[in-house]
Amino acid sequence: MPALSTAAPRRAFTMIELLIAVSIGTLLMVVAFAGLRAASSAFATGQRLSTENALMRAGFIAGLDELDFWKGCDDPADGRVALRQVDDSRAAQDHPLKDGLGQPFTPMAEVWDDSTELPGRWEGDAQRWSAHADNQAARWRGNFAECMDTDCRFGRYGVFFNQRATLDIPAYARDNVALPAYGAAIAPRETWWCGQYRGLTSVLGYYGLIDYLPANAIHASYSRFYPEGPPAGDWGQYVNAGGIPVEWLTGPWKVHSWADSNRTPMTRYRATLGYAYGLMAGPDAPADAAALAARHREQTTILHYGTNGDIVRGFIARVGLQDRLTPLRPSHWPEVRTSVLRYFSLGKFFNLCIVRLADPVSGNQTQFSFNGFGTTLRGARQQRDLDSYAP
Amino acid sequence: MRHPRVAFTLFEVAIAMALVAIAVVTVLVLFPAGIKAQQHARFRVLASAKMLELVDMFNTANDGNPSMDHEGMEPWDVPMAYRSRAFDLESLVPSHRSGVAPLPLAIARRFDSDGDEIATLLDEGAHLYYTLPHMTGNFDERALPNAPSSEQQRLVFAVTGYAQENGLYSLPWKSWPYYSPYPSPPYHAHHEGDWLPAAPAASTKFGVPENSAIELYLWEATQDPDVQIVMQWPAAPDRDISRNYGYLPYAYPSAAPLAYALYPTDAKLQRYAPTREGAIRYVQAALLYCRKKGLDASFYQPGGILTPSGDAAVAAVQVRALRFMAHAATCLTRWYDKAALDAGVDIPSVTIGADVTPAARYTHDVIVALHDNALRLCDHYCASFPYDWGGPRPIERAIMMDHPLIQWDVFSTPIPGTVFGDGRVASQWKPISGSPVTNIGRSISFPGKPLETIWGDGDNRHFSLAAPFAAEERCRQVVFWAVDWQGYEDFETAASAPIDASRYLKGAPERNADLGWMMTNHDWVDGEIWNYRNPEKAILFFDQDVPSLPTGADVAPWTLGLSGYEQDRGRGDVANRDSPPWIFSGLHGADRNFNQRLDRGPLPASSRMRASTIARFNYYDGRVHQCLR
Repeated sequence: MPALSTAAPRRAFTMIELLIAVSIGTLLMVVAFAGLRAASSAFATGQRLSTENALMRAGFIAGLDELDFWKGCDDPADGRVALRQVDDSRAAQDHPLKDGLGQPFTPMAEVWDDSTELPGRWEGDAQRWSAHADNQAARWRGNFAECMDTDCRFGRYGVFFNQRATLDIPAYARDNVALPAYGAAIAPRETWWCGQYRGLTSVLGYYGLIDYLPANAIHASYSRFYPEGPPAGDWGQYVNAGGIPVEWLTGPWKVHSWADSNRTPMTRYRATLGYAYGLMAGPDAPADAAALAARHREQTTILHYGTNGDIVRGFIARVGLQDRLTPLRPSHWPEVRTSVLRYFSLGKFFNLCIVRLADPVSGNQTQFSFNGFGTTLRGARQQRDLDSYAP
Repeated sequence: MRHPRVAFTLFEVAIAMALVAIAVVTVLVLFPAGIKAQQHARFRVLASAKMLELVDMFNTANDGNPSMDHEGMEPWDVPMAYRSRAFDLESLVPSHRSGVAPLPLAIARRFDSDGDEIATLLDEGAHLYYTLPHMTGNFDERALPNAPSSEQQRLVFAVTGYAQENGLYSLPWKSWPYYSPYPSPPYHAHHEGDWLPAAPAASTKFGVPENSAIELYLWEATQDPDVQIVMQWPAAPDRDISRNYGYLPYAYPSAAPLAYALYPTDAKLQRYAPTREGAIRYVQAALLYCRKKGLDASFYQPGGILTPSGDAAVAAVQVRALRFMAHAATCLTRWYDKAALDAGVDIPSVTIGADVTPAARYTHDVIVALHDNALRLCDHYCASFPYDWGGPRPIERAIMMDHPLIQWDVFSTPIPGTVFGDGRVASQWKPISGSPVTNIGRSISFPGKPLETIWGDGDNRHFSLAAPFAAEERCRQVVFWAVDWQGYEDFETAASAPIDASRYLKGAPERNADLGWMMTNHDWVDGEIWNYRNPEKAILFFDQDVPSLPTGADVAPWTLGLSGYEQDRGRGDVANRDSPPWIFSGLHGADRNFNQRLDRGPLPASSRMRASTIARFNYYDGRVHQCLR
């Protein structure tokens, strides 16, 4: 009996099958590789975008945070309090209050407190500044027609409205104007407004002055009469024949607009039609208190009447408070910087935030900017209790 | 026995491969979706920042354009009548000073969006806006460096929801409030001399030696002819200066002919030197005015605080008299020292023509009391009678309540008329105010035109500015989309979006002027008319050949904001493509990324783009002008 063979006949893959199998395998590998590669690339791009977005958000939030809390300008916890300095270099010459000229974050009490000659301190009570018809202390009482070269043909408005509680008005002879003396020991009708105005310019500078005053304020007040300049050892300023301090009418510290023939008292809109007053918190803010104080009283032309590109760019640099948010970042990470510029121009408070992103890998730079709402200077000072006179 | 076959069929393999492919593709699709989500997240940050700025510019930017004519004989004769100054975000914010401009319509029409929202908005007349490339800081563009790339520019946005009827920016016949210092002399103004529709009935006109085309005239006498007494009395000047009374002969005295110095410089001060006698004659004129108004010594020589009148007409007269009296009496302090004034300066009674002035005695304290009362009564008058226009408001106390609430009465029968200098038919609703305006008087610009008949029928139900409202009535929305519109080949050479005609600076009526003249013949004081320009003004090309320059060409010499701001002003021949009308309208395109090069994107103008919705922000849409801080 022949043995039965139970083994199946051996059968190999045919060439066709092999080819199909290899093709399928190759296709799968190609698909998988392409997929992995795309996934890897997309993942890297996504990660980078995510990082950039996070940095951009951080820059945006840092800008908003700065607008709210002003820590870049004045951070007591970090020791950055340059804007609290007092310039006492000219205290004996032209400062009416205690020790010198202040900066936007100078505590009121350090410069404006307990004067024996001048009435009052800063009074921020809304009722004191009310436009109510019975509140005549808050009323501007000067003469709009009193330009730099006034001959006082419309009278001596300094007797209605002055910084001094008692006043001498001597003879005046300057700039083709000759006036006889009016008298001595005169009690002006109102002193409160002028005291507040002069005090604010002394303590805060002009940005602070505009921030603190009501929006409808007229920019000029009347002062002690020193037509020939203050005597040695006394504070005071050159004034025009009417009693308005000359520095407010002309020169780099003026609070008036470009038209020289119109150097008269103005509203803040007219006074800043092409000009700006800034909060000088930029990185090149001088350590010297006197130079910094001067900058806080300087007027800069930023819009076309007499615009100089270098001056404008210099202003932007001086005003721009810059913050590198990621100084310790990995070197291949994008760098984000936030700048906040605070200044007043064209009757508006500009709170301009600029967020810049620089990618060290691609070399690309991008930026966005916006003007935002934030705490006023006065609000920031109140956060820090700088307007208090408490011991 | 044969073993069954145990291998995958081809069908099974195909199914398996399909499953693998779906899985792989799903994973692959997820990654770009993630990237897109990241891009959207970035645009949401940028949109949030832009929205903050929009709200800031809408609510805190001063919208004064002081070099505009604000008054006309009819409301359609001045461009600020309604549309250009409406308190709507899309009316006020788009400008080169606010960093917002409408996207060229030719480009905006190429976008597809969810629900065809963009196309629908454009069909309804809205614009799609983009962010101008340089920062919004009131800086002269010539001083700014090239703008670095900003993805903010890829955001476009539009305002949805319908604007409400707003309060009037100002009444176009009379741009109230008028402001005056207190105290001050009679309110006078300068005028080109072409009185329309006729010369004012009661008004002194004065020549200006330096400019014979300009006349100064006494506007306040159009309201009260007796004001002439205070300005100059007798009205016809006497060659003997000692026989002239009032403010003008004192402040700017001259022999014949009586002249007026508009801007007193040093030289003119010496030429027109006032005198003590002139000051006294000014006081005597003011005293005569008081007598004419029935005011006794308690007013013109007060010993204390006066009581404000509860009658608007009476109060207006008292305030005016005190304003003049305080101004005149204070002039004495220029000529008498305090000792002399404390002793009392007697102002004798004089006869001027048929009138006799009262005698009075002025001391330092009386002058201070006059000043006090002039301010106090004025403040009470303005606070008590906000809708009485019998006296100008004090500029030292400019407050919100000086501005009356006035709107167009859309239920009234429109006022018919014709466009001045053109003759085309025009009409406008009548105005209606919160309370009836009393003592409306005449306007400064057109004092020959009576204004009593401009008002509606007085049905106060038509006045809605002070009506209660639901929150949603004043809610509008800003929608942001992301779209790479700078990818188009013509993104810099496309013409600006159409500009509302009210955005074009147009002068008020002038005698012998036609509409073309009024459209072109005026000063373009750029810093003072910033909202009456093409919003792309700072980046406009002003040469017709710029669009044909090669890509990458330097365009700084032909960009308006970098070259002196002058090429888009004034009249021009519309057949000449380099003339101002072409440039004003932005027909040669603009450097829309402000890199000072001519750029062209890779996409043809015939292609369409998908605009992705990024964010929606609701905002409060007020009906009357406001400026926070």
